[in-house]
Amino acid sequence: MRNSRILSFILILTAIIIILPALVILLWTVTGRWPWPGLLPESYTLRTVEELLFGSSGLWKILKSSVILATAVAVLGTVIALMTARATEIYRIRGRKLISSASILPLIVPGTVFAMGIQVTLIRIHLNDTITGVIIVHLVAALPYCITIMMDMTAAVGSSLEEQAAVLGAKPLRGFLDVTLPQLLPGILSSASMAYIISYSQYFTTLMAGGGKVKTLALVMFPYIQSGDRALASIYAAVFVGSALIVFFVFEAIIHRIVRS
Amino acid sequence: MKLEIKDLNVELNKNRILNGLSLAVREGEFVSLLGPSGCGKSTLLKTIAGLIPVSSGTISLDGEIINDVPAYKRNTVIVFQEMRLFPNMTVAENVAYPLKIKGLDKGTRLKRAEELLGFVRLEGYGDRKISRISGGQQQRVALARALAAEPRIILLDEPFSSLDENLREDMRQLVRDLHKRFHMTTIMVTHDRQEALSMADRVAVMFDGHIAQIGTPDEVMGNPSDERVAEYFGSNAYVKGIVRNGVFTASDGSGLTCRIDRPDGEYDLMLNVIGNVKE
Repeated sequence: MRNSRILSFILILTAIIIILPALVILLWTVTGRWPWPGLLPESYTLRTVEELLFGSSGLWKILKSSVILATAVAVLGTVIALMTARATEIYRIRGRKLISSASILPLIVPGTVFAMGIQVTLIRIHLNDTITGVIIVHLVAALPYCITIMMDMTAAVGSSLEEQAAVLGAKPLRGFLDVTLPQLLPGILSSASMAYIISYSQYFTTLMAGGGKVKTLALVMFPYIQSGDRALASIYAAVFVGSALIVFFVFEAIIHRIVRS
Repeated sequence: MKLEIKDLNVELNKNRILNGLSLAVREGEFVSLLGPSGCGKSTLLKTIAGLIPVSSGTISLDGEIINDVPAYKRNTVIVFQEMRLFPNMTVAENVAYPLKIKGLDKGTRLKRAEELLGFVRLEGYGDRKISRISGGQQQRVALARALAAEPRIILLDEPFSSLDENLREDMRQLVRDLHKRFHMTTIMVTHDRQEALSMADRVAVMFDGHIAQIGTPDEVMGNPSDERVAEYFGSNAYVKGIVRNGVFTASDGSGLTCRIDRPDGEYDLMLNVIGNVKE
């Protein structure tokens, strides 16, 4: 009883910590003037909505390209992570310890240093200023998380159900799809969401690898935040968070559909 | 289906687990594989089923060497101790899984699954989730699923060890009945001596990766091939003594003598205490 009360208190506190700033952002999106020390804005306007929908920034195009880019990173990152995890945890290939420690190296190197270095590499292989180049760079940033999640998940699920499927007559791929994949789906969802949000929020690496030609929401949003136009920055932030949430719901719906079928 | 294993060696991570093991199981026979933990019983089952590669030696089914046949083509089904039911499927879907792989249509396979569930006395449980049935019921589902595959050999890996004593006796009976009914060649790993002796046509005793003795329960109990096998079957006492003209005389002065058909010489006489006489 006491425990559950403490638990609900923590839950409510967490909700407030998350929801309150979000509400402030939402309020800012329609704020005309909000001088200190007013508790609420002095005037409201739909200027930002107008700018967002009909302005020069081309929101829909950018939103579309951002979502496609981040989804590509989420799918590729998770597939690569799953294959890596299978190789190290199930097939126990040689040098698996090296692979698992090498997979977290991108976390150790500072992002800016990494972005400069990879840009030189991309220029050498003629992938600079291309969407492929940006996907590769985002993948490097996302993979440490994806691999860690998928390795833990794969180790926990193990191969015992696949062995059972095999002795019952299932070929390896069939066994994996029928019995292991459904167990891995929660991990796949986490990995994909993680990779998505990492890619979605990349700024500096996108700028370097895409050379300004590959536009994403994070890229467009940044100048507004820096220039101090709080209202515009807020509406972009709201679009950013909202669109990411919608994509997560879609991911989850897809996973649930797979589980049911 | 006749199984023949010759001079089988299996290494895992450079440790030799099976060591020159030979075993022949006759068509329709029920063999219990008995031995202390770590002697390689489960490894042997997995090797027969193709889950662990053979280092050297041969495994053949009906004269055909199956060393290089992948597990999914062998049709040698293991029922594991942990049952390994598929949690994303219902009871009926679990049982029907081997039939699904064979490409049978849904109606046929669910009908067959219901029939098999009847054999293991689980009629009407088909729609349940795996997590909603008890351990004993799960074990029966695992058995029904193995039967659905119509295996050439059924391999039971300590199938009852996670069940309590009442259920265990029930399951033993069920396995015996199913064996009678389907007449499937069966190998059952156990470390329960009583279980092995009471269920099997023949008992194979395993030590350190090889078969120390194989024979009928009476043979293994009554005429153990060596001291370790004898030790394994119960509380034994040894009496030192000598045999002269077919009579053993204890040298400890206890006056114990008995007739024995052995050449003259020094011997250890083994007394095997099988059970409580009063029972």
